[in-house]
Amino acid sequence: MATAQQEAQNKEEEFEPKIIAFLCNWCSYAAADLAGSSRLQYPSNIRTIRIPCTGRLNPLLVIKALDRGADGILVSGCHPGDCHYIDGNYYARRRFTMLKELLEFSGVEPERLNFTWCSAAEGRRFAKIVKQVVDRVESVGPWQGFLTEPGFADGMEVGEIEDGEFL
Amino acid sequence: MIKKLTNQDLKALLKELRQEFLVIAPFKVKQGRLMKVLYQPVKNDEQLSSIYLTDQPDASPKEYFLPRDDKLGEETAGADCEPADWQDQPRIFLGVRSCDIAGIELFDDVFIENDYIDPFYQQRRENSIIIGYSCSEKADNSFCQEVGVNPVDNDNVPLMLYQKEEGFFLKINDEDKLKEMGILEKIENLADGTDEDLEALINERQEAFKEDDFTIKSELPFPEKEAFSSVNWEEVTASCLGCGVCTFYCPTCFCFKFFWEDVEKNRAWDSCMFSLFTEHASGHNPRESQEQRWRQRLMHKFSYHPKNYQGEPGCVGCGRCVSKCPVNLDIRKVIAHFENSIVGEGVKGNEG
Amino acid sequence: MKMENSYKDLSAEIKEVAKKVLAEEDVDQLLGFAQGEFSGLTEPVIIKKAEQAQRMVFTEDATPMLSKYLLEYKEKKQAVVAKPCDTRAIAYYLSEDIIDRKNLVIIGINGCPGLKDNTACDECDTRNPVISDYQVGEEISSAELAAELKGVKYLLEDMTPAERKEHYSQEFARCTQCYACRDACPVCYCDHCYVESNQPEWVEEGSSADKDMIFHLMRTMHMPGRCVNCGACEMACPEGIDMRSMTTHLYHKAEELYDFRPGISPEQPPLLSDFSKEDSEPGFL
Repeated sequence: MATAQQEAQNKEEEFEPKIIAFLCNWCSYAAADLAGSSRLQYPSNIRTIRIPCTGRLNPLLVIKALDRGADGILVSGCHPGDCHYIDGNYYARRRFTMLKELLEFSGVEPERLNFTWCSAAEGRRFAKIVKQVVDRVESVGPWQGFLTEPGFADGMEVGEIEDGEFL
Repeated sequence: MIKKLTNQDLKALLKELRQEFLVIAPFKVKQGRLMKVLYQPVKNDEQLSSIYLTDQPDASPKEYFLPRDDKLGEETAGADCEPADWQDQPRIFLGVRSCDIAGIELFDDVFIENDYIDPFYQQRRENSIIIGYSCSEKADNSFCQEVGVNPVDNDNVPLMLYQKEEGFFLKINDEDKLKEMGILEKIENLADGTDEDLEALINERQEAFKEDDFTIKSELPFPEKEAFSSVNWEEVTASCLGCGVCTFYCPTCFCFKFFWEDVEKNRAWDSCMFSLFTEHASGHNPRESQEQRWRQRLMHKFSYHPKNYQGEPGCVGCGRCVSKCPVNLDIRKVIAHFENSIVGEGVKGNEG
Repeated sequence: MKMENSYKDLSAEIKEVAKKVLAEEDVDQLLGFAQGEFSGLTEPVIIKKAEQAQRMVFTEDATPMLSKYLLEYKEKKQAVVAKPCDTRAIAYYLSEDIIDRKNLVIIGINGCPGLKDNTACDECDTRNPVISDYQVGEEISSAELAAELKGVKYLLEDMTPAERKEHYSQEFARCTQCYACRDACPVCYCDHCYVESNQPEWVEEGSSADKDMIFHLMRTMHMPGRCVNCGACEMACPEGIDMRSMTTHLYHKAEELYDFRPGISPEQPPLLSDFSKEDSEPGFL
């Protein structure tokens, strides 16, 4: 029994997902702060990047983060209607919906792409979200890149060779 | 020396050669919606019968001499960047047509025969034997004879293959090289062919290549000064989109760029059709517009290269740049426009 | 039975209209297609005099998007022979206000018969011009179009994400980074492309498959609300890479989620420069 527990623990230790969290300066970033000062526990897997507004986040940065080896992404901004810049998060909502559609279509697991809203007063919600995101990313395992075999292009595999009696 | 082979003989010969060499031959390859003919290494003996020689390959074998992405090894301070364990298996290229042979010869001029030797290219080149192939009909958009390439016959490769209705002639041009590589003994026992038969075949084919609507009237190198002063390049190249397809498929385009991945030095293809090709760090770009890039591409092939290499044109007339261009921009049209502009200028000069 | 205009009839009509436009309208140039002098292939041409209109044709190989060239010369007054997809691209330019309607004379092709090998034409939902000054050919009625589109599936719709990942791994391994897809695209018109930016370096140097994938994902991410589903990217690709399936997916998703089709009218605001407070949040936490 003890060994099974040990194994399970080892397994968990093996994979500590790296999650890039893009947090809006006016809400989610403050919520993370609040969670900290309220001494709420949440996993330490997120790497926070403070952004001025989710509407200012270039979707290409999310692609780039995954390219550079992040196992998952969290983007969190103000609740719709509460944007510091009036409507930045409304634009962001469309943009991320489209980004999510594209990445999921091309084979990225939906569990890796997390978008949510969290106000500055919601420290508890922020802690909950981080836990949830870490669980989601852990459920799909380490990120292997956008392709099935990274570095697969060695100049040889160019397509299907047609069999036939030509010679 | 001329040998006569049946299809079976050729396959048996290749099978034998495969013991020691990596045989690279054209195959029909399905790429998405396209069906192409591409040089591919033969992976097993069964594949030998799928070798497809009938049509001009869609790409020249230049990728095997100057790879698209060439890893040049780790660069450490002061040390030579060449990796010690770098090696290629000796290779045989089967069915290379005269245009592509001329392309490789041009690479030799640039990378080996002058003062600056590229050790990577040199190693790959010396490791390779080329078996040429005589064209029986003109490839789409090709104009090889206009740039001095003979599509039917070639003496610059050690071995040259001529496909007949049934079987092949194999002409041996360079016995020493073949002996050195251990190929000659495998060929010697084949049936002999006669000079007359081969000559008849060559003459017959040469007849078929005579007609061509397109001719290059000017002498090489093209005049450089007039190219800048009296040709309206935009008029004829306005449809160019600025992609690099023509240069990537060109058997003679060799421009490359260096870049580093951590400590590893890499070399990759570059193209004069890209705006970044000439952009300075300051942001200034000496060739700012696409027609200037076109002028550079044409003049490099027909003026600068001939000037530096004893009048040899930098174009082999394979026609791939025309066939592959997304907007079908025709290099022949640009040459004709260039010549007309220059001639117009010349006449004016005489009258004056 | 398909009611289609033949290329021959369209070519003849285009010649007539082009002559008329060049003679009567005060245009600096006309963009159209002509047969190549040596190659016999269809190529885009810029025509300035009515006499030259005799050269013009419209064929099944007329793949280049002429709307793309309008932006090169936007200070001039231009006429253009526009396929229905071209007219959508033009309507999109007008919605972004990057070209002046007063400078355009659009010769729209009604009942476009489609192009050879272009899979986008099989699922085309715009067979008549959305904006035009002159028209050639017979219109296709919406009933006919609906009948044709019945049961048409868009690319890779039936695959699972894992299968698509495998598919794209093979496809993009062939990419040579010639950027012909970007250059051929009528709605790619940034002055400074992200590909050519090295601060930040969005696409790293080198042509390994994973870098190619990044390039294509980023390119596709520029496309929602722009792509008019013309298939020019795929037709331009010398390696036959299927990159249109990604943009087409977003094209259909934008229609499904926001009832938005790019380039339908010059007045419509671009998809990502607009919002509704009621937009859905599929899959948000």
